Amino acid sequence: MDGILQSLGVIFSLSGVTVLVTGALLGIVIGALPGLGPSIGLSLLIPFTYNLGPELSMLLMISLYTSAEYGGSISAILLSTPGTAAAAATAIDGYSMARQGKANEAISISLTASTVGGVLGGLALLLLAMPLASLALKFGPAGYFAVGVFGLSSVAALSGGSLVKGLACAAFGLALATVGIDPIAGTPRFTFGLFQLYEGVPFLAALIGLFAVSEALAMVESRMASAPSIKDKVGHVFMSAALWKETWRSMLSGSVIGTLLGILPGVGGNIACWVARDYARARDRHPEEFGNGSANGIAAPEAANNATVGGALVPLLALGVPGSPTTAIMVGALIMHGLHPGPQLFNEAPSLVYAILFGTIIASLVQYAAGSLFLPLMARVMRLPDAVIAVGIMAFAVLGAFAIRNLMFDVYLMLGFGVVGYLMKKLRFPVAPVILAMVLGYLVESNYRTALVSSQGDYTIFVTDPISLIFLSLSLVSLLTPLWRRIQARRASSRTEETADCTVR
Amino acid sequence: MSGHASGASVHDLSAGRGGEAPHRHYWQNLVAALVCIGWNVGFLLLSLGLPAGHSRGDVGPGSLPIQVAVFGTVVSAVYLVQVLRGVDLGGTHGRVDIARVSGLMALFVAVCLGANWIGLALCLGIGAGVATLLFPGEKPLVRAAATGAGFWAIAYLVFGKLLALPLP
Repeated sequence: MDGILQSLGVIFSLSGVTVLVTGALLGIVIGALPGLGPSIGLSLLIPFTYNLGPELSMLLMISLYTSAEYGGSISAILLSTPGTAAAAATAIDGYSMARQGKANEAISISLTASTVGGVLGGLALLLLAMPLASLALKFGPAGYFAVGVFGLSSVAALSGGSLVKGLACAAFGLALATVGIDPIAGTPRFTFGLFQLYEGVPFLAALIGLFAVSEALAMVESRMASAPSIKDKVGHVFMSAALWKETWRSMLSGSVIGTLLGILPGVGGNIACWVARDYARARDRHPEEFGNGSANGIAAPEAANNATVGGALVPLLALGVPGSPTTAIMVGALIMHGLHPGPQLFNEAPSLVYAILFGTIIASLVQYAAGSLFLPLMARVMRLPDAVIAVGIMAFAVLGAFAIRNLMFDVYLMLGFGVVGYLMKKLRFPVAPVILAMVLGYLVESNYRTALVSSQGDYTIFVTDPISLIFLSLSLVSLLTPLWRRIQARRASSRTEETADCTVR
Repeated sequence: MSGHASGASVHDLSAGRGGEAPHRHYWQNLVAALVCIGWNVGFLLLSLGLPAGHSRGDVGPGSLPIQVAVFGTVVSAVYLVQVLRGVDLGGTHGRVDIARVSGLMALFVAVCLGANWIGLALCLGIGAGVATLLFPGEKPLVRAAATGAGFWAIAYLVFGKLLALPLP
């Protein structure tokens, strides 16, 4: 009870409200700028949150994360350019509505649905995190190792594109995670005599490079002379009662889909938005309106992508396993404050856990207020030319990397990771498995070796421990599913070819 | 951005489809596969040099790195085989603007190197201003001056003074 009261005290203090509002405004702007997203926003912000303390730091990040998911829909609706991957589905009906002169209406649906999705996702987090955490406390080292492997395998398999590239990236991230003093024996590994690497590859420097600098390098290449013009004037947005009546079902179904998919590692808003849109379309009485400015075509994906925020925080809090790059960044922030996420956090820092649980819901409400009051200002930010945005990213990346440990070494390392991230982007290698592996590397290795020490070197502990067996089986399923789908697709295409041949004959 | 915002990529979760790979992707992926193999073999050789564990049951500090390196080598070999078989595993379609990308990178490396002499805030301001010239647009010099001054002010006043970051 003390934890709840303390967390509410922090949230409703002047500094709590200030960080929530700041996070919401930054989040909407970052989300609305095409190419940027919550991952880049958080990676650039983290180094500067050190002085805030863990509760305020997490509130700021949750607020930015939630609002960036909504912000992505603004450029999707006004410019047909999704600000974030999760707003891609919104662009179809949102832009169509904007072309009909109903931009304000489209944004009002997006904002309301995002808020409903965020609140319902937050409520799911509140209800699920604690029981799951109590269950996770019973896991042994073998179980934890398997949970880590499951998180990694599913992210590698589901992060989009080629499975083999996803796995290669996970191996690269795990290799980076082994740099530094080893967690059991204390032996320095792969440090090459550099004291800066004794604590491992600085995660935040790698993160800023892989996400932010790589994006700036991609921007300099695209060479956009000026920002696209916005024809519609946008004012303050409040949804009418008629629209509420029309869209509440889609908001609800989108929220449930988003929450459930958000819990699964590797599945984020960019998948949830399409699933929610398809579901809403299948259930709609006028499915033909989808694609031509349907209100439900905006409400369902927007509710879903914001609901994934609460869903994605469930495995982070309950198991200590981030399910997405954005939540992996939050792990980095917690580590920066000397905390390790997971079920033990409920006993070690209850006020922080409750601040995250309640903060997720309240951040959605703050996003609604900030989004409706400051929308005209946000629309102006989208007129910033690429030159200023890209250069701004680079400048903040340099300052952010330096702020981590006040070492120029981290800045050079960050720039190096920027080049790696840029090349990965060009070659369609997913970045998410690298980040996840860097975060999960410590959990995987320490529990792997502790399990073997406790079993006196007997490897069968990983299959005799029921929790370990379940999660290792799930890992196998997550890796085999894309292969199975590929075989099915090949069979289907060969059948189609055969049918076509028969028809020709 | 981690994800690429397109419906197609979102739904295409399987590995690359078979068929004739575009010529450009073939060479890109071939080089990438060879780099992956090189990295993992190098990592394996370094891992083999790590000491064995001392406690009973402890597999030692080299155990996981060796396993990761072996796994990475196997995955990279599969990647190479897929490329050689002509499976299109994706790649960049457009021209890579090496001059601009390396120009921006070199500029910010120079910013970091110059920070010890004239201070990071001033260096960042100059670097940010010059970097905007890499982008097309109207009134480039005015934009460069305004951006440079703006970022110098942010670095010096907000980060140096307000946040008390000990900038070099």
